Amino acid sequence: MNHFTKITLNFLSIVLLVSLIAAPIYFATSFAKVAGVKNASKYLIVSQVDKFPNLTLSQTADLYKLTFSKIGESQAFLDILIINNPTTESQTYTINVSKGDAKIFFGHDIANRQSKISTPAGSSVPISLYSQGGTSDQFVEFSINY
Amino acid sequence: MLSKSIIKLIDEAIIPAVVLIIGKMLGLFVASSLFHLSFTVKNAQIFWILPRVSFTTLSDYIKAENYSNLTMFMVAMLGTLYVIVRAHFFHESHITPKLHAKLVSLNLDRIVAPSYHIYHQAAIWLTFLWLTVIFLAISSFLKITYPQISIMAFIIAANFSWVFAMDIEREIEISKEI
Repeated sequence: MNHFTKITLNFLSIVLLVSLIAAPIYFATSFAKVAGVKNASKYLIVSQVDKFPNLTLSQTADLYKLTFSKIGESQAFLDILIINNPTTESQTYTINVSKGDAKIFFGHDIANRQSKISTPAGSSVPISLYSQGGTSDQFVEFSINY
Repeated sequence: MLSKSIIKLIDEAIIPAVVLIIGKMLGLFVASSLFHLSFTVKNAQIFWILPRVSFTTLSDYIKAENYSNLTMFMVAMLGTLYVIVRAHFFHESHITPKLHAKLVSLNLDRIVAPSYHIYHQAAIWLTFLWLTVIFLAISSFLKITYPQISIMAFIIAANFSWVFAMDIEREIEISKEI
């Protein structure tokens, strides 16, 4: 057996020995884990629509649709939804209205309607609806961008 | 030619490695069934054949991990204890003639082993024992294993190493006399 073969075989046998010794320790570290549902969502919408008569919410993928019947010419529905930031970082959310004349905004100050807001990690912000003029039965479609 | 020592060490390392893995698995499953911990098993996750267990909550995982680590350490400890007892009482170089004769009469003389065999076995078991202690210490540092288990493991491993060192010392004195 030449020297090179000897060295190679001895090296491989040491690798095998180290692997045999390390195997139970590696197994002990990897055998048990905690399973958890990984939430990859950047926001969570909590609906409070059931507290409001004549107001319904529907959703298709990322598009939300609010259908409502208002009593007067101007009506506000405050805190109909709550947007929560489930991540560990601050997120900036923007409401994009794609259809409808009603105003969707963050917070519940009609005089200061915000369509963009920065939300710290783990915190929540209400979403309100304001309609002025138009027919009594309306709808508004919107999405949340981040 | 391959080193005889390395081949002997590989030969001696197989059973302890398997036994430690089985001890860990057994400890985890026994703890889970005793404490009614819910878990899911995914097959062929580790080394392409062994399963991985996932617990639903962190507290369940910590409880199961502690008991399974303790079981694994006890397996390593028992293996090392077996080798140390063999080195102390059934060592070919210094076994008492009376005991040797008794073992022969009981047809148990295969328990008596030469230094070459005992010291290779002891090297492997003590390596596994100390690696387990290091693993427990790191696990305690990461706030998974209870510190009491790591401290107890360290004390036991230190004592076993000291007893084994005494046997090596005796062996050196015997070979000097010869």
